[in-house]
Amino acid sequence: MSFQKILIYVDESPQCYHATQAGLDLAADLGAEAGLVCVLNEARAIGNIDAGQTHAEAEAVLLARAEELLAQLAALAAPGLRLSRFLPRGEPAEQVLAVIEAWAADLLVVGTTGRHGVLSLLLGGAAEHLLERAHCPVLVVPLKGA
Amino acid sequence: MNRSVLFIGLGGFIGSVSRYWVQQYFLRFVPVGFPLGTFLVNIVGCLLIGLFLGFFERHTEVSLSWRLFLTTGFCGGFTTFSTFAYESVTLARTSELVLLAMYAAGSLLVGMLAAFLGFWAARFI
Repeated sequence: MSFQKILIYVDESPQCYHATQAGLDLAADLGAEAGLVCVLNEARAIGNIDAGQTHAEAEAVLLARAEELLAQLAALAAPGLRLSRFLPRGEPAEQVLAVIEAWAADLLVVGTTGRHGVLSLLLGGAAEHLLERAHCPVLVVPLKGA
Repeated sequence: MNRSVLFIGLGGFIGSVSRYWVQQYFLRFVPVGFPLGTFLVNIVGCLLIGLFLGFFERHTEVSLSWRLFLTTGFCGGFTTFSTFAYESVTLARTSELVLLAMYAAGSLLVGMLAAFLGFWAARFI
């Protein structure tokens, strides 16, 4: 199996940096194209009415942070690597699955914290959902041992 | 307008403006997601009202105006049940159910614990 398009899921989690680095290195080694996908989860933009921050303003903060994150992680790519960026809005797992299909990715790279049990249930992010639902191979990069 | 109403108004002004400043401060760190600012003002407000009421119970010489200034005025203005309710509804509408459970249950349980702690601590003042 050869991988031509490697999609890397990124968010603000601590494991994201290591997963991105691993995915970009793999793409460079294989001569593949890489894609970074960061999802703007509008549900998190609840705003702060006491401080006068509206939902729209909170969403703008989220968007700026996501764009900055994508820019920082894109800088990790080796020179000459073909790199695409995706910033869809909505529920993270669903949006990543949509990008996999639309971009025709043949490998998804995600990071995990390596949590188990209740902590995993409470704090498990999109990565855990993607493992169950993605139709392409998934490379899981654990934070432990990074 | 009597003296008590003036004290309540002054306490409410200081409490509400303090809440605004606290919310502004925490907006820098957690501008989206968990409503940390509201959670903290409510917990601190619960701690303070427990402390004040515990103190008043032992110091009956404190005037009605000052009691109203600190409790109805300051604590009333500093804490916010309406923002808590609005943020809980927002979390429910956006299906952030784990965050909703942590926020709603955490606010009530930690708030009651803080009020109890404040009431208990007042005996040492």
